[in-house]
Amino acid sequence: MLLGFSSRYEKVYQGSVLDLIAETVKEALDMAKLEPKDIDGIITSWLPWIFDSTLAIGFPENYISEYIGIRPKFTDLVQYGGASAVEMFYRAYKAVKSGEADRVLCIIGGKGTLMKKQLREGGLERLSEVELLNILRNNPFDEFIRVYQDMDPISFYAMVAARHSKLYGTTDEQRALLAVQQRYNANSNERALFRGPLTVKDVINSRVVSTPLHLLEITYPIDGVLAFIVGKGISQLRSMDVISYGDAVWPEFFAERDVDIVYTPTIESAKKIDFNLNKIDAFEIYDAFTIMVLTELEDLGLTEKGKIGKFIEENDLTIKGNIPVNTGGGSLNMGQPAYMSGIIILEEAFLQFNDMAKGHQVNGADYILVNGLGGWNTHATTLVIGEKR
Amino acid sequence: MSLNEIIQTYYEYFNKEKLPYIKCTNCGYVFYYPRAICPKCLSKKLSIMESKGEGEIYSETKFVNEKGQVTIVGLIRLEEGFMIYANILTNRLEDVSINKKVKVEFKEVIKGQKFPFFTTIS
Repeated sequence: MLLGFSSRYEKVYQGSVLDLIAETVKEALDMAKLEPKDIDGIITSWLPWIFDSTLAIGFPENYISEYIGIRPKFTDLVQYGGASAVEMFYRAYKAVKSGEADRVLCIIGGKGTLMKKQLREGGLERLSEVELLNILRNNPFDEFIRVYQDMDPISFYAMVAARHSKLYGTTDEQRALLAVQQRYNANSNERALFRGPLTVKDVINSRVVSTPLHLLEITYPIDGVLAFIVGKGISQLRSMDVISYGDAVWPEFFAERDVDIVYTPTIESAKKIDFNLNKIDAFEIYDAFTIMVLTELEDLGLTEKGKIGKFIEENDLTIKGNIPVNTGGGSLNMGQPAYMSGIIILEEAFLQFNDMAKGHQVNGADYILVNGLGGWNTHATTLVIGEKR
Repeated sequence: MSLNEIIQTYYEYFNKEKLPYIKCTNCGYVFYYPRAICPKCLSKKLSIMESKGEGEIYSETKFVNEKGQVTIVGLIRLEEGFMIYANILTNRLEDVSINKKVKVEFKEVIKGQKFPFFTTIS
């Protein structure tokens, strides 16, 4: 089902995002031994600024198809934030299964570093958040939200962490321990941006960005693209199938949720998963912030709500441990391409399943759970991949 | 009322230092963020109400803004049952934590237009 994939990640990519896409697509097609003419479906994602600082692009699926010479009979545009890549994989899988397309090319990513640059240094920096309303809106009530100062989206996840601590006694050290365990995995990954020894004390001593979250609990935005092809036929890659799938969308503004903010939509997407979690060999969990991983693991059902702090202390979540989580170090150590995409977790699942993860390979990675989480706990996509027997 | 009329009424309330919210007279649902229909039952039978402006902190986070000032943003659960995401203004940072009582306070942030903020109750 997965015929080929390739990615490029850079701290700051100097060229056009179309160069980045073209190179990545070429490598993915080469791995699949395909040419542009063999592709009949395309799925992409798009976020403001990630395409060479363009604030908006009309018809992004066409924009990319046009540049790389694809003539699709099936297109889709997925905007699930941090769950986008995972959702895209599933939609491509469904399109192929239903016969809408034979070979679907998925392209996700861009230049995540440009958002900050444009907002802080570019022409938009003189505009206040309120003035930006006329250019880019996120929800129908922006006038009543953007008048306040925050560090969106860090503020939201910081409030989740603060409330988790208040309700359940979760400590800064317990969240830090997750970051430390992920760094252990990153130290065996030659592509990780951040490597080197890291202790709980180091995380606690790093600057507090938004209470209670520290700098080393927050992912770093980078530039990068992942291209992958889902389709019929065989390839040099191991035969991969979707074993189980679930998704959930919570569109409401977080001040209007019926559920406590310590819950993520994973509580709903995970309910649709029909697979014994004890049989999962590696968990790839979206990690823009430490608290996201903690709440996702709870909502997946690895432990009860509120007990994740103790769970992290009592289990080894590294690649040498009993429950390997974010086996390549996750976005916390790889960086976050296109500021929310879920690229890192999906590619790591591809690598693990194909025994291509080199130094950070988990033995016998036959079943991998990937959990994407997007927006302000807005989208969740849970996927178990493996080989159907 | 149309959405724009509701928004205008909200702005007028703010400038009179009153905190509005909406109650659906059909299903009883209470909400703050302005809509011309109830998001639970789609009824247009809505009443704009005035909140007492008192509530408690549901969650909060403190950060240093670009001017180097400690800033607090949080979710406030009002006594009438709705929540607002807003800045909490105080000189006593130690008084700001989850479950602490707060009350509304208005501040002009856009020329000629006040908006609701919250402050700690001593």
